[in-house]
Amino acid sequence: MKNFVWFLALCLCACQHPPLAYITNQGDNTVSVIDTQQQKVTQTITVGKAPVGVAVSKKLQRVYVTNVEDGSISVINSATQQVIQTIKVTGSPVGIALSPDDQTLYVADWYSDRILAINTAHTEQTRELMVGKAPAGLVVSLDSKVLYVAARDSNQIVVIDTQTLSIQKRIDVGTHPFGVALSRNGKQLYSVNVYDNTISILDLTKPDKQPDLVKVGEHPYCVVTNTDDTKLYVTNTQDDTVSVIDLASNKLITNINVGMTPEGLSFNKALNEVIVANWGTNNVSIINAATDKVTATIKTGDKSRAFGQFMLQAND
Amino acid sequence: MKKLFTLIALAALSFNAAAHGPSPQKVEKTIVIKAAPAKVWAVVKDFGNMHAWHPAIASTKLEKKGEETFRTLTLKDGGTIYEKLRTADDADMKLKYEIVDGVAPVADYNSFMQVTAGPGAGESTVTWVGRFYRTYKLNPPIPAGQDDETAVKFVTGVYDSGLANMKKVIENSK
Repeated sequence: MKNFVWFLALCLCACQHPPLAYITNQGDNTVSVIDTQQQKVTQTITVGKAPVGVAVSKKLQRVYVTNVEDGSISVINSATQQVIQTIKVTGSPVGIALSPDDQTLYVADWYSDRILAINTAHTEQTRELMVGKAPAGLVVSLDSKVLYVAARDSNQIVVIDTQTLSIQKRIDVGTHPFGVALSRNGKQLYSVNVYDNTISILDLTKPDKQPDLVKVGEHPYCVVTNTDDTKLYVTNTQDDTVSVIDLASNKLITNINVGMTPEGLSFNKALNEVIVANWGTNNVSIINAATDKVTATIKTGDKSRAFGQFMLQAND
Repeated sequence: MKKLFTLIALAALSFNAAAHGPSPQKVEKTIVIKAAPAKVWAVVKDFGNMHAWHPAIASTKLEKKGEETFRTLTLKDGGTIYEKLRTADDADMKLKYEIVDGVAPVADYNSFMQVTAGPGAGESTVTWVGRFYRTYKLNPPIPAGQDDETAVKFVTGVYDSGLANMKKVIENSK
């Protein structure tokens, strides 16, 4: 039955457009667009200098890319794969996330310790908030009301009310949190603690509960769950592996060898796979989430990072 | 070679464990050595003897702190670099280390050296890969000497001269 559902999902998806992965390539200032059904790069788009973060909107047909070394955001039309706008921001934009209602684009300005909230309909309308040292990963709650920011050098997750753009609280996590993610059901938040080699698992329904800690590999960066929130995937940048954590027991299941220095990763729901950007080997690894084996490696551009939710798919 | 010393001399001592830059840099170099992998690996893994093959290094001082191993490299121009051994894996013939402190114009530098067999019979390939950041840790403008270019040039110089001399030293020894 489960297989049949997957089969249906695959068909539905195939009839619409293929799931696309947008991979930022720091070293050659491009984004590789991967058709994940064909498992090949179909376009290479030139963006700003040293692109790192990425966010996608199916509804708006937009892909947003942070170019940290020239302080800009490239806006790509995903229907034409053309850059249609470049938003200048003073500072060093790294992390980027879109609210699920597609109204606000959040950008973390690394050296200026602030968050920008950009109105996607009127990009000149920008609000900002000082949050903490070296803001990195961002994620927005399912109802778009709360923004979570990993303040890397404050060792905290900063919880922000998006309506008033004010800080609700600060949650201490491990040392140097970088990537953050929410479970699909929105009830758990994951923080990747780079210097501790751990993941903090926060139960958002029980704010007083101490976060669970799970040990992963060396210098972890980013995290994502699978479709039904049973497993967590974490890139370990200095072990060249992806850790798989069982979310029922919060225990490490296995470490999967991928390319060198894996950074960003996203879940491709339509094909039940994890796509991992390998900074050190200029490619992506595709992990089958049923078997947790690497099924393909696809060449991208120089120093692939893909920091953010980079999968554009029909059923999101 | 002279360039390398100049770079080291120019380098500001600006190491610090706080925020690194947003864009990591990479240098990857390989060299083929006409010697058996076991022989080459014995040289690579000898963490306390880097001066035996690297032409910019005058001496190496090995230090144990509990379980951890460190070395102080004294350069021929007098500067020092303090490094920590992460792992030396005999099965993979892979040595991992990081820079803790010193005159190198890089931040958050970590690296590995790996020996593989081939390409030819009786040959070995040494791969040396470093990942690091520039030393300047604020918004642009980035001062000269603390930028990506300086960091990449320095590491490239270290790797190129080191690997070339390692080849010479190993191939000339019996």
